[in-house]
Amino acid sequence: MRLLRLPVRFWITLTGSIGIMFLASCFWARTTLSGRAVKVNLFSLVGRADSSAANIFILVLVILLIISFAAIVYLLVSWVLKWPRPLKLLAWLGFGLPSVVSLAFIIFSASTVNPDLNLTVFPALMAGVSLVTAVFAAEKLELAIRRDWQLYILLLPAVALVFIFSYLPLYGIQIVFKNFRAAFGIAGSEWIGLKHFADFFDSYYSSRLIWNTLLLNIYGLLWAFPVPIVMAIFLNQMKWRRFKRFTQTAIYAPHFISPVVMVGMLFLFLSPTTGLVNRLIEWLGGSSIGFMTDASWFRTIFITTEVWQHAGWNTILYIAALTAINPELYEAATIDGAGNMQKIRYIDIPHLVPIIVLLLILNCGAMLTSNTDKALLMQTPPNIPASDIIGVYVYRMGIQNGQFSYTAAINLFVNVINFALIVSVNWISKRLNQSSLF
Amino acid sequence: MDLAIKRKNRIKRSPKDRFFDAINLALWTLILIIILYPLWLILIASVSGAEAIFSGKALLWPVDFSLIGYEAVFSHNLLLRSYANSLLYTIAGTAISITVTMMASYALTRNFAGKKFFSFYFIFTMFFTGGLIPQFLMNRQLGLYNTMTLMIIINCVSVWNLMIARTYISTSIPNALYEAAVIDGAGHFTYFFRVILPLSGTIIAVLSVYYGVARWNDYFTALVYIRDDSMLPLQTVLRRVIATAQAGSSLDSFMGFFGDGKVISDAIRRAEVVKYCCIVVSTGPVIVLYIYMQKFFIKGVTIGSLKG
Repeated sequence: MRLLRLPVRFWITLTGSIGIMFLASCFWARTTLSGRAVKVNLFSLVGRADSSAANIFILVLVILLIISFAAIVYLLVSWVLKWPRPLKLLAWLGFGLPSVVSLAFIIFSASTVNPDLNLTVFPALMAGVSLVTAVFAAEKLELAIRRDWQLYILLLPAVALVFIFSYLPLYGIQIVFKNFRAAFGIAGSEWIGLKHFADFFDSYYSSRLIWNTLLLNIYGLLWAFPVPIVMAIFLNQMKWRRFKRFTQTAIYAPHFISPVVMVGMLFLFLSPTTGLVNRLIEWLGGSSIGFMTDASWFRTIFITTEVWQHAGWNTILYIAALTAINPELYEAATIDGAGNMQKIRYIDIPHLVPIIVLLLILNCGAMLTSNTDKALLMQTPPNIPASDIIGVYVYRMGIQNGQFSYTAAINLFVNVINFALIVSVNWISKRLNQSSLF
Repeated sequence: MDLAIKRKNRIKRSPKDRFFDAINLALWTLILIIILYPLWLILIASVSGAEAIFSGKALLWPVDFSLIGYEAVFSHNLLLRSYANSLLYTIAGTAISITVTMMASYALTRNFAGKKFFSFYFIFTMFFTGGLIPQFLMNRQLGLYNTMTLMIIINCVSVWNLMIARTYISTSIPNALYEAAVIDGAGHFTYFFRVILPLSGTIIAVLSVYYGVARWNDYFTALVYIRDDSMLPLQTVLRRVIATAQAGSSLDSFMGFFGDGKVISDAIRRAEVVKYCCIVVSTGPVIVLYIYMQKFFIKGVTIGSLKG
């Protein structure tokens, strides 16, 4: 602990100099990596080693390098800050321009020498960002770290995990513009521009996939959205406390059933030979229906089970809004002779409208997302015309058949649309409601 | 006394309202039946004789009580193995998730340089992701493909849960406590471990249910990332058993799976019983956990889910 009390400047200088030493030893060196001699610069090593431990080690080194980058800048800046104003301006130009130029040089020259080195783009951009932040934050930085270093440590694990699983994949997105081949890796595969997008839109599948995904979400909105509202309103009117409690517990329960079990239940109950539903239909004089192998039944079953499973759970928000209503309103209404339906009409519904609008708008923003988990499980060869939604197709063609670039392109296309939808929808709800997600 | 007055002065409910109440009660009874009956049916089917289920006799109560199905389930190595795996993934994963989430969400409730940046850093991932394929390739490049490590640490931080926890901490733990602690010389660590954590029982319970159930129920991650049978979690194995496509082919593979080889009518029926047992064995723990946790639950969920 006492050691950590040393001035922050000291630590930054230390890591900085380690980084510089490392930079010097690695940048032009021939490194032997798992038996192969590779001529590299530092960045191109990430992801090249055979073992995960080595890769993580290298990643750590790269991050150290980036820190050192920032540290050098920080030292320079804090030195410059002591200068009088005109000199300071000169110094910004003097340091700023060359660093931008050299950054550009690192990125572009390196990638012409060795295609693998466009791997530099990502770390270099990060270095650039940290450079800029360091410049702007230099004065505050020391105070902040000295006062709040414990907070940064508390944040660190979450930041690291999110970085690995959410931000590193962003780097991998470049494969949508490439012809990915495992032997060359993400960085080494050849660029082919927008070919995959063109292929997708030319193919017969594109409209079917988008349409299926859209339709599933529209029907979901139509059926699964109103049910919880009605349930919440009527549950709120329930007079018997115990019964109400029990009901609340019971209707949440199906939410915790896994998609596998849910779909397993479907296969059991709807089986044309042994399923109870078909036995009932036969008993009533009909003939058994192959529910799970019929494309025309897919959406019905999907939405019905969705309602069965999640409608109860989705009442939570509405019930919370209803319990927040001032009981005096109900009392006043009772004295004025209002019946139950009138209370619902004039008290409950007006109170629910803001949250309904908010959730409705949010749902509209999720029009092209796919519930891959469940749709994939419910997919059988005969119902593919209806059950092939984007998420399922990406899994089937990408992970199972290895068409990585093509499916990643489809996925990216949808993600971009989703992102645009959510942002615009959020903007609308901000306007309407003064409440927004972010 | 009070009560007596209240009762006397109460405004009488009109016949219309009583009618409404009766309809409401009937409606909810119906909904409860729709929701609970399938679950009950599965429970009784798992302990009934194969013939009774098949002929539709065991509809309300177990008929020909037997535990053959459970015997089959508990003597199957892969199922047991995957059950143990799932327990490991769920317990370890949830523990890590909660620790990491609580730490980060506390930090985000304090004012410090970079708070806005970090909030954006987390929230951005809710709205834009690289997608399945880049994530898969990246994790493979990191050497995480087909490892237990991946199964434990992937999806450890759910930003949604992080936000719920942050809202909980900032709304239900008064800031005066922090000021008092700081005056007494506490740093963030001390305050977090000695004050925040002991006061966050509700939200930790809610998070553990969210994270735990999500992990226990997840089959897709393993479908993508795990190649060896020995590392599969329960749900992925279950998928082979109960949620496979066509009746004929699934039963074939199913019988192969349980080692009988020949498909005979009786075996088919027994296979159906085993499926019911699988459902009970896999879903039972989750439902029990939920019922046990639910007293914290309704309170905690509503606190967290309303945006503060």
